[in-house]
Amino acid sequence: MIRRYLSISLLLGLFLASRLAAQDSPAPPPDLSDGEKLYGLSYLWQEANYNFAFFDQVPDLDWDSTYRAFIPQVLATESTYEYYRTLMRFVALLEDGHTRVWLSAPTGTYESYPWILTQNVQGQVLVANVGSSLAERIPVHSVIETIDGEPAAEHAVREHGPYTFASTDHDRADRIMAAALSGPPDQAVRIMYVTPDGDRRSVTLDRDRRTREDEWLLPTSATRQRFEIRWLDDDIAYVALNTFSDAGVADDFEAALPELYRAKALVIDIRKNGGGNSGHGYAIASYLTNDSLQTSAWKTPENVAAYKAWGAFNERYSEYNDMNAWRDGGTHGAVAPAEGRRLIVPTVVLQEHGTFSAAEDFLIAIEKIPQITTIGRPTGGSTGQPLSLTLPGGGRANICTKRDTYPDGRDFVGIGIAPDIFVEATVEDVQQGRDPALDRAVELLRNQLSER
Amino acid sequence: MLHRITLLAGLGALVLTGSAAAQDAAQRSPWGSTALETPYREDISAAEKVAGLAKVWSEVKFNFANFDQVPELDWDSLFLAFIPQVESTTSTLEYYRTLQRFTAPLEDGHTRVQLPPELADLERGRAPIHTRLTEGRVIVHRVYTDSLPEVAALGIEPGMEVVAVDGVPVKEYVAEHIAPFRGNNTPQGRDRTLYDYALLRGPVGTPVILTLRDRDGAERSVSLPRLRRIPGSWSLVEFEKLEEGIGYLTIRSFAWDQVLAEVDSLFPLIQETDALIIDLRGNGGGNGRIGWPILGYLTDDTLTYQQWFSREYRPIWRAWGEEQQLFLNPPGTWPADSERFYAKPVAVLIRSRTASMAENFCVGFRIMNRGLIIGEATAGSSGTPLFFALPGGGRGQVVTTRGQYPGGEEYIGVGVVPDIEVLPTVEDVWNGRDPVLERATEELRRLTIGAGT
Repeated sequence: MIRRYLSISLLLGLFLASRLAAQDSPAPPPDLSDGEKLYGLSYLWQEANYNFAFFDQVPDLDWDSTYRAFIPQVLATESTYEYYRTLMRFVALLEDGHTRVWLSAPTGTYESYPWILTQNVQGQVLVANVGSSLAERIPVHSVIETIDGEPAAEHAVREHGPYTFASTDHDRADRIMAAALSGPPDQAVRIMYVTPDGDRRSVTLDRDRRTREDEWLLPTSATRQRFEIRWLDDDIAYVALNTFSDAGVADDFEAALPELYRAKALVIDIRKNGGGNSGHGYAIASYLTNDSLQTSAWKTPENVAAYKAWGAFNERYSEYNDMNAWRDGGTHGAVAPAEGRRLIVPTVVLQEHGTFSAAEDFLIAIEKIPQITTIGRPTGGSTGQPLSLTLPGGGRANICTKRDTYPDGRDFVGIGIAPDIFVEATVEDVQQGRDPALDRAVELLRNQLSER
Repeated sequence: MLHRITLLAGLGALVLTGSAAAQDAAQRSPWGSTALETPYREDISAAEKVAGLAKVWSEVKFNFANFDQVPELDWDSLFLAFIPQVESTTSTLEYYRTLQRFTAPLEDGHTRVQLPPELADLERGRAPIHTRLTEGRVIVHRVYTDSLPEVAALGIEPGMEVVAVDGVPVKEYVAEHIAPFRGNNTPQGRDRTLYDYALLRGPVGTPVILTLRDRDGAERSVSLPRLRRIPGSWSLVEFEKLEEGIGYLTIRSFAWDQVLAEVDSLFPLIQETDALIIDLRGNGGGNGRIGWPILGYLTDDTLTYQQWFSREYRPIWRAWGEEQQLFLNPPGTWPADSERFYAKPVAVLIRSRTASMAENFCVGFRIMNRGLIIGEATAGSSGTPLFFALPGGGRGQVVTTRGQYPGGEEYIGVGVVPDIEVLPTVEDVWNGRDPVLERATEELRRLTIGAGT
């Protein structure tokens, strides 16, 4: 069958964002009519039907049945915020980190938290960072035992679990624990915690992160350098690539090359790299290989209306009728080795749950490089191309339309990329300032160097 | 000499559009959910009503092939406007009638909502007369009196005008009770639906009161029964030899394999004629597998028929901000029949009841350049429907393909326009004349005489 494509712009208007949905606005969102509430819910339902790339990863989810069950739930909401919380619960059931709903509103209108950042360490809620004014009372790496009288992890799961967008269980757990102290800005939160010195204390804190000036004690993702370099020993270089959203990270790496050529071994830390543009990671990867690298492959769902109709009675098109037809997008292109001198030495790449998206693409590109070993924990396991939607009341939604895989089609979204060597930090490690993954990396590299 | 086959009793077989096989197969929800396919109840829940409306909205939004022909329609806004309307319905029947009003503005004969089987009798009853809009008036064209002595006794004659239905002036009646629930691609298709097909439909067993105007202007009221099935037989294929060696072949459907078998069995008789008239004026369509072989008998070459397009949707294109793509299928072909080839002059008769596959047939006939098309423009409605189940046991369908002449000239939304337009008058009906057939006979006679000299 000969086929060609033509574009007819007349049909395009259909796919522009709904005219019913307002623009993002700094003003509080308007109250919504029942019709608008149902419209927004139905819109999310249908857009997921036709666009979501991971239905097979939630095989127990009956999306139609869920939609029907949410109809009375959205009608029962009494505010636009509550409505959006309900939509968040609806979309969170798709269990994908790039598929989400949010309501833009003036900072701190609906939710805030004290000047404390929390993290999940072995199922415990640890203080990861504090505002300087709290630093003495609540030392960093304290373990929060209870929140409002409830065991901290249980509290976090109950309050935040249903609203958390994540592709993997480990990423979901981390996000839930990070949100542990979040809640209504006008309600203080009472915590009981144990300091690293073993003091058990309690305190009631205002959720004033948005309304009180303070400064974080430690660097945050916003203040962290995009690129770090230091020497672990005379001959092992440590490089942190903390983001791929800034092209400068590749420039920094290239600028550091003259220094790095001295290294007999290399540690590349992408544990805090949440992604960005895959190209920046590939540019760096090109210095680590003598061979051309394969990148991740991708596919997107496809609906040909006529095939869908035929599929009801013609086996040949049944995948269209089942809405399980895909268009293969190939890979993201080969990465050629960099011209000039490259950096081919025993190398460890450190990865963590927080390694996401373009940083995961980097890991896939370097998977086959013989001198590289990965150490740490599985990555976040979420990437893709979101379709952006505007909802009634000015909120937004993303639906992930693109399914990235290893070049051979194996999934990593929904699973995470496993390290070659699994190393996990304990609460004790964190409190005592140990970095067991880095320690293991150095040990491995020393062994490799001594075997030469 | 008259040959006819009778496949199905009653008129029901004539109203098929689309593929009969497709009627049994409904599209499933993603990943096989049947959660929205709830059974019929007298008044389904508000949540089911909203979900069903959203299902129609969604399947149309992503699959409907003809949005460009209704450029003023804002489908999303219409959905929003209908949410409170379906919520306020107080019965499943009223809900389905509301869904029908929702799809009507799409103005497509193959895109609509069907009542649950439990409610189907409410619109299945048919009065034993056939009406049409003729010269702007609603005229009785035929009265079915076989085994219906009480109807025969009413003295209804072809040519009488229907001026009121159940006491309401006929056009007001149509505007209130029929037009809001039916979408059509063309004005002639709309007139056909309203006045040929749906005017007298209603609940089986509930009579309809007509006010009829006679030739002399006298009016009287008659009560006609609405029957599930009109007694007597109806032929899908008829063949007759008219004077001067002209064959007259009527094909009223392309939906049944027997139609092709019968045309095949008639072929030796057809082959004896000097010219052939193919009457598709009652043909509402069916399947290419029936239509193309028949058209193929008119050529010794491979025949070419319509091209079509369908929407080809990939989420990532949309996420990247690219335009909706269309899958364009090039004009189809059908091989010449090795045994049957009719080489004599041919004319095809059409009107607004000629629809769907019968229109595709006309497009192929026109491409073939084998003769004149005579009568009135066809319905302008064809394509492959996607079927989907709805809460409460009903079903929706949306057209997924748009046929075009090779090169892109439209006939969907336009109709196949005849080479020679012949419009029957009310006077013709009174006199029992068929001016379309007469004109075709005259044209063919001219050709056969020309060939003979």
